[in-house]
Amino acid sequence: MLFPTMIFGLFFLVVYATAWSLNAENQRRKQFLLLASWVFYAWWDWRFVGLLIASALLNWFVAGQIGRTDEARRRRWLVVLGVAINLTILGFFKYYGFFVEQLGDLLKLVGWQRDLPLIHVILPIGISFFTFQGMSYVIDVHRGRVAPARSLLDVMLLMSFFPHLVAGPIVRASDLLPQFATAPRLNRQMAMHGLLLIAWGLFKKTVIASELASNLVDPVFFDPTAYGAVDLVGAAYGYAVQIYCDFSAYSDIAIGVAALLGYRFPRNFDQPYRASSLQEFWRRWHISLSSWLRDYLYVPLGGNRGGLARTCVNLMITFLLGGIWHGAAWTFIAWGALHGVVLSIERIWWSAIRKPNWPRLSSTLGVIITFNIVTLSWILFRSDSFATALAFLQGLGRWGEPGTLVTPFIVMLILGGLAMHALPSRAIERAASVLQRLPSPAAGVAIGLALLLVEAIRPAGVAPFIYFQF
Amino acid sequence: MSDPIDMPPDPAEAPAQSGPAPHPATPSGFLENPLIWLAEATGYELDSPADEAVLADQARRWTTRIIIVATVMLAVFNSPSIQTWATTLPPDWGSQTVDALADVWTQRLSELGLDKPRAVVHQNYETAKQVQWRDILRTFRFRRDTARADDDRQD
Repeated sequence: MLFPTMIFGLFFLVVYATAWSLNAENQRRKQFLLLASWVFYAWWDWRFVGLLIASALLNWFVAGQIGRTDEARRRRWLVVLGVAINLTILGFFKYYGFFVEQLGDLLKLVGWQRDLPLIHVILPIGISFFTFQGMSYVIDVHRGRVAPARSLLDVMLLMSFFPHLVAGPIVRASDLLPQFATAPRLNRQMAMHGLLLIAWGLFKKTVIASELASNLVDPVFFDPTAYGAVDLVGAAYGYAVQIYCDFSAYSDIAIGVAALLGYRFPRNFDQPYRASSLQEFWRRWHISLSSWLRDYLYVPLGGNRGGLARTCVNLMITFLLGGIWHGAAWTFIAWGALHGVVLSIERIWWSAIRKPNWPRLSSTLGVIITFNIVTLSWILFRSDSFATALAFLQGLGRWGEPGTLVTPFIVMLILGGLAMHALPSRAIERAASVLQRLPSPAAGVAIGLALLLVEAIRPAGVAPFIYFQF
Repeated sequence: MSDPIDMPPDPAEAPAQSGPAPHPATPSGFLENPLIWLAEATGYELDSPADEAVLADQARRWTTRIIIVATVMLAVFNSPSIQTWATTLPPDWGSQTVDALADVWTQRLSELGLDKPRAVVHQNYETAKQVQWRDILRTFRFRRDTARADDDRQD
């Protein structure tokens, strides 16, 4: 069930009406939301609802055991067990095929060819998100940052709640469990903010991301050798805009849907292409993942406490694993490595090379350089193999061929996607503050007109969100 | 790196910023809450609805009305999308019923001309998508030539 579809619209109307009619009984409300979340997930493949339940059950059990014991050694073993269970689930479903294939290639290379048990494992949608959520819950209970949930229902709902289930944001237990304790209350600002985020997200996904994908990015990345430099450059910048509009749209709609049901989710994007360094980019892009990697990987590795060399090693490890989190492919690992290398260079530059009296890069130049590095790295991210990425990069020299796909309309979409980053910070919140003063019929007409406009210009059909594959 | 909670605070955390705006004694305020509108219009003082639960309840009703208005607008002015969606459903008794209802609904609204606004926007948007660089250049040259011709005429 995709967000920008009629079936999801109907599903949401039913969930909204039922959830608020059950508001007097919080327990029943949560039970209903859990059931609705399972229906939402089962729409893709009902078999994996069992996996979702089993994962929540295991995390609830381990966290409960950690909360019941004071013995440090036992607590440590339990948290290791919890993390190992989550990693085993993720590893089997997401990386089994990849690792067996690589092992087979390696054995072949050393002349010891073997038939390895290669089985085709279906990737359950959203598995990277809910296993990371489970891990953060167990670790936070171990660290004493969050108390173990009183009921299994709360943990089940934390991990299965449909707005964030398949593509984030990765909502932590400390964010959501306290909100489950009492029946939620809505206020006008929150509701209007949610409605505007949904309309804005639909626009970004169905109008900008879908058009760029089908008319520029997909054909060019399918066969980069068939296009000249104009189309390739257009596709590189087009993909930078597409992935932002696609993924941030999902987050916006998820945050908006949760808000209409009375729950607050953390912000996941903050105009990332405004960043003037790669470090700042990761504070603005997929914030829930970057903060997860910081808190549960980079800081435990030592962070920046062990000197410059150690910091760079920690950054490389964090981003290599961040790369492989996105998918079982060498291109994702290379993408993560590229980010790790550039972040390390930034750190070396800031702390070891740059002298106090040296001129600083202007922030505009920093934004341009950072954006182009990020765009270059997206080529690796989007390519299905190194060969495709190499063909793409080689094609950037073919300036003699005319552009066939980069039309004025496509350029307008790319510029429009980038212009969003020039909007005032928190523009949606500000608009919500104004619109919440309207009487409901006028506000309804405003939202209705916005949705109608999106519906009138969007192409027929909608592709799944990019981050569904992760 | 901070991990901000982006949604605004709830009424308990920030009572000064939350809750519905006061209802001015305007005709639109009547639609929101007739009792409060009447009280403000006549100068009668009501007890302030300070209770958070009351405020939350009012906000929920306000949100529900917005969703209803927006849904009705979509159902009326966006009926071709409903029809398109209905045709994509796997064939069975239920989906065929939905399909038939969607056909009738779309046809009736089309007779009233209510599908026109969407069609006009859609058509113009599709035309804009087809514009090529040579069209822009042609327009630019035409304007330049026209301006030159005007200048020559004035000279």
